[in-house]
Amino acid sequence: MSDFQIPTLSRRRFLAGSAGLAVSATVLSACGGGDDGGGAGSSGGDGGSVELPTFKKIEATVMPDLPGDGIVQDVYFSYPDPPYQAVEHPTGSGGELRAMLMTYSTPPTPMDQNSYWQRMNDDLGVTFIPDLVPADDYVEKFSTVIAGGGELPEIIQAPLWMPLPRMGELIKSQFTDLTEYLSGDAVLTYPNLANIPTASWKNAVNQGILWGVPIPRPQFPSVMYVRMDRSEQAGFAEFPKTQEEFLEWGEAMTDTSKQQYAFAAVQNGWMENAVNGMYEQPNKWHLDGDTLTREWDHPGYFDGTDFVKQVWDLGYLHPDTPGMQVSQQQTLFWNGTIAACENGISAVSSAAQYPDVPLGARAPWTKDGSKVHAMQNTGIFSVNALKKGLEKAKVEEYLNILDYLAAPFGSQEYTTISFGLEGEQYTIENGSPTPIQDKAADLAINLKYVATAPQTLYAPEMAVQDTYTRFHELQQELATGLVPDPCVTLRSETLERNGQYEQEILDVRTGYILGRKTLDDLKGAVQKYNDEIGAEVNAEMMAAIEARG
Amino acid sequence: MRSDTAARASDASPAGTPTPAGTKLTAEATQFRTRGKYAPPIWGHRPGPLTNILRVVAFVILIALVLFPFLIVVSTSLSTGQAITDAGGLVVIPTEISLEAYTRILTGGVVTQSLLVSIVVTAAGTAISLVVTVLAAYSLSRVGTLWHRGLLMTVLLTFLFAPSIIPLYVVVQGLGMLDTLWALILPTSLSAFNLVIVRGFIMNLPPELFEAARIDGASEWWVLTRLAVPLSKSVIAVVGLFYGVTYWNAFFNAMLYLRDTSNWPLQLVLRTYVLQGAPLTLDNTGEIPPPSQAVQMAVVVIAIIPVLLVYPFVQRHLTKGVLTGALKG
Repeated sequence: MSDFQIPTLSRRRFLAGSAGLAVSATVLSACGGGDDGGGAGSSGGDGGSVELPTFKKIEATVMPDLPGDGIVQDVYFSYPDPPYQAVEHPTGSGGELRAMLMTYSTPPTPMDQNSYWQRMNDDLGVTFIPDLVPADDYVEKFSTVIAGGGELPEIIQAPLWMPLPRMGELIKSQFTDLTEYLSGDAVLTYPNLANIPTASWKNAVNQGILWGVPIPRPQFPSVMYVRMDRSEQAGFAEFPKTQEEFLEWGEAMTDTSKQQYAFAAVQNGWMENAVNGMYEQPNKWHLDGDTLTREWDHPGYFDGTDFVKQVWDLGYLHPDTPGMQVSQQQTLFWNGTIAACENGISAVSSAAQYPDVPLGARAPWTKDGSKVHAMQNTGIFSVNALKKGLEKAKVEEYLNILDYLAAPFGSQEYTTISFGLEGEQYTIENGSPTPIQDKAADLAINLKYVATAPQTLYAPEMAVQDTYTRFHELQQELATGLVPDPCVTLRSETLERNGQYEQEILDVRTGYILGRKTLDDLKGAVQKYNDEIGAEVNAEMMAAIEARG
Repeated sequence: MRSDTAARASDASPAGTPTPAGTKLTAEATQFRTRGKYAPPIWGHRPGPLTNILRVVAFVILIALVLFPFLIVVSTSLSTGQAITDAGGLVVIPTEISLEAYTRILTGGVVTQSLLVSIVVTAAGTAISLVVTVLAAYSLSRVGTLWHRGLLMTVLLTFLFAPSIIPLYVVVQGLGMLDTLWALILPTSLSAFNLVIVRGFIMNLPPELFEAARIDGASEWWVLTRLAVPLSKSVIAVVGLFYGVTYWNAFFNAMLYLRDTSNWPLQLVLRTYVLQGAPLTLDNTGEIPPPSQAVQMAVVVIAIIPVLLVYPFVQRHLTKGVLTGALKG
């Protein structure tokens, strides 16, 4: 899916797992680090570099069927039995633990009727009180609660892909500096937090401090999902790698008389991961020494646009593409109207709902198919901060609780946190914990947004196992060519206040692809951005890169 | 005019029969007189069969345009996930009826609990709002009383400058109303718009009545409760509907002020059902999500029903109540 999206779309796509990439630069608050990050040495202080927490993958007693490495996800085909104990240390010491969290689910069953919630309170050693905010309203609530000046909850979730206001100042004035607790080897006190990959931690460094604990997600961008049944019917044993094969495949998949199309893309998305890969474009920003450039300052931007225009003119894209929403794209994909579309890497889990559709995916190969060139994601869902003013002992206690919640797949703790109590919220069927549908609301207290382990892929069903095996290979391919965004998690105020410039570039680009605008119009829109705000935005971004530390 | 009528007259005569000039004139004159004195206006004519048919067609099209989206909403809410995918996202006629979406929403007690909250908030809120509004409207309708002008201007000013979210939040927080149902009622209990409507209506009641009552020694309270309120029933019904619908539909304040989800009103809970369609729920917990499109449509149906039930009873007051107040205020 696209780099450039209206916020709603980007949010959705984010959810689908395509994360940071999905987020338009205007919305993008997130900026982690495309640089090597985490060099040795000093911590704290403006502009000083913070040593990132040491990554130490947990050596589980139950090995995954297809082991990953901190970038590639672990894949399990059976549920570890028996689950092992992952946390030895004590957790909370009583009292309330309040957390402002976003939610995509319906409200939880109240505490007095919710055995899961009561059990988690016991396990965590605190009374957990979530302040759950529907995702669409999170920015308003976040801004209001912080501006309201009242007492903040102990844990505050900061989804950096949302336009949260003035994060830099907030980090300094409202959040606890966790550098001394988690930087470098200090994190090893909390083995499950040390199991979170470095790329995810990079998002939690700003203003020269380590200010939160990330909720990790895969670092992969959206990939092109392919219906293997349609591909094989047309006689293709493999998915297209080179640009030429891509076009041949598109032609073979398109049959307008049967209302069948090769591709679709969400509004303004235009299969950008595939196209950016072909033309080896930078990931939104490109940092060369002290010079910062945007993706459209590279010739591949215009060549890529021309290529999309060619695909559109050939009719390989579904005619609704210019205004398509993610949900519509998914419907068209699963009912076979289109043979391929881009979606977040985690969307593979919907394969379980459609066991009859053999699902494959194509990595973003360069034009000649020689290597993978994939836009790296932020690797997080959010960064969760502790409010300022906590005593040292409290900070350590809360980090112990976060460590408990980050217990990895296969542990007893993970099983309880993710599935609840056996016989209450889940049953074991064929060795696999299976949620009891009616009890799903018990788990909606969203502990997985307080802290969590890196995601794994788990497929007890045979049909899905094949798919996951293919995706494991795909992830290994993707890992060879991840291109970082040098400004990930950073923001420029000028850019945020002037979203219309980027919007215009997007609109004119779409207009050009559809044949309503000329190439000169597009170059004009880019020129306008560069002339009117480009220099200022770049200066602010460079300053932010330095201030990140 | 003359030639028009003449032409029409000649059209009226049997084809092929030449009409003498004199007759024509007489016919013309007669018709002219008839039109001037007796004929109904152009829209008052009995329509011919063709016009009638066209009318019916036009109405059918209009009604279809209104009802068709509603049909889609209902049909989709009653369909299975597979049927929705096959139909490309929206179902017009369901192939098989499935109540899965409704069962899913209504089991677990969360929705029923929030329904209760909504009913309490709507009932208490509307009652409080009506009392406050009528009291304020009556006193502001008494031109010349103490600080009348200043108070009225203050009220009208809120039309122009609505308070923004953060000051409201600070006030609610300062009054200790966070996480209580009062936070859903008090901040929105008086709407300047409704106040102006009621005030206009009361001012439009015959002043002689009030004067007579006062001469007979009635207190202001007596005048308000025995005269102004009974005579303003229609406008109070309408404003009550406005308030009721506002309280019923409000979700934003609840999102902002309430932490305890068991206090959430229906609309906020239903909203989470709509957002639930987001693919994020496909975490690797193995849960198979509901057919989100069906659930979303079921939510729309559930949210509409109460208003549909109340509306017919209040609707007859609507024109009378609002227009009288608004125009002569």
